[in-house]
Amino acid sequence: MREYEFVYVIQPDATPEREAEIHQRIDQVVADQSGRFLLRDDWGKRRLAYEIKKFQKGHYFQVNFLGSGKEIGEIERLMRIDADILRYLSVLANEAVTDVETRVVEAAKQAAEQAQRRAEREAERAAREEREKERERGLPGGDDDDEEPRFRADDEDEE
Amino acid sequence: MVDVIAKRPAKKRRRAGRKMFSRHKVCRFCADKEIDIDYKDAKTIRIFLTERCKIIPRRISGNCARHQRRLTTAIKRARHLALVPYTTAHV
Repeated sequence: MREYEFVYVIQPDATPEREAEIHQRIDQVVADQSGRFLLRDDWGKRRLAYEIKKFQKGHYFQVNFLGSGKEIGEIERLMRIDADILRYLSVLANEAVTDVETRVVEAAKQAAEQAQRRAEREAERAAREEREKERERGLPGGDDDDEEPRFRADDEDEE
Repeated sequence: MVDVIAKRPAKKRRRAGRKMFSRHKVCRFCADKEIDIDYKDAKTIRIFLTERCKIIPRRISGNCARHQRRLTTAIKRARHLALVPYTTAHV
């Protein structure tokens, strides 16, 4: 079997239900073609390097699965139809996976690691946001611009 | 003051000399087997792009042919997914 890596970007305003529906559709295609689902990684909402359909951010997902290759055409067709998909990319990760079961177990481990990393990232982000909020509370007024208040805050500290 | 003026020409000459014997560059991916080329890793890919986000040629980066080839496809994939820009923002 071949291992495929499929990355797709959903528009940032999509509801969690809508996202779940898209995931489910992909999984369905894999299952229909008797492929094996390996893992799904949520990269989170990331800033796009350039604007796509007027969106500045996108919700990135990566899914790995084992299959014959027939799945890809169908998944890509679905992605093209879906208006909430900003970008997708399918890559052949491994041309010949001989030991399917080992790979499935391995992928489960990988998925667990990714989930842990994701949780850490999330915690870090929450902490940072908390700090930023506190700083904002510390200096009242002037939160219209992103950068200027920050510089002003530094100046005040020095004095 | 006098010192600065005296030093200048010497510096210039040295720099011109260095240009003549360009240091042999080693492919970064051959030297360090740990780092693999991955289109998902935007940070690493960024190293091989200029400020205007053009791909840095082998002649400058010193990559070997095989790795430059892999890097190019990785960059192009990353660009498609908007992980890395095609060019700097305009307008």
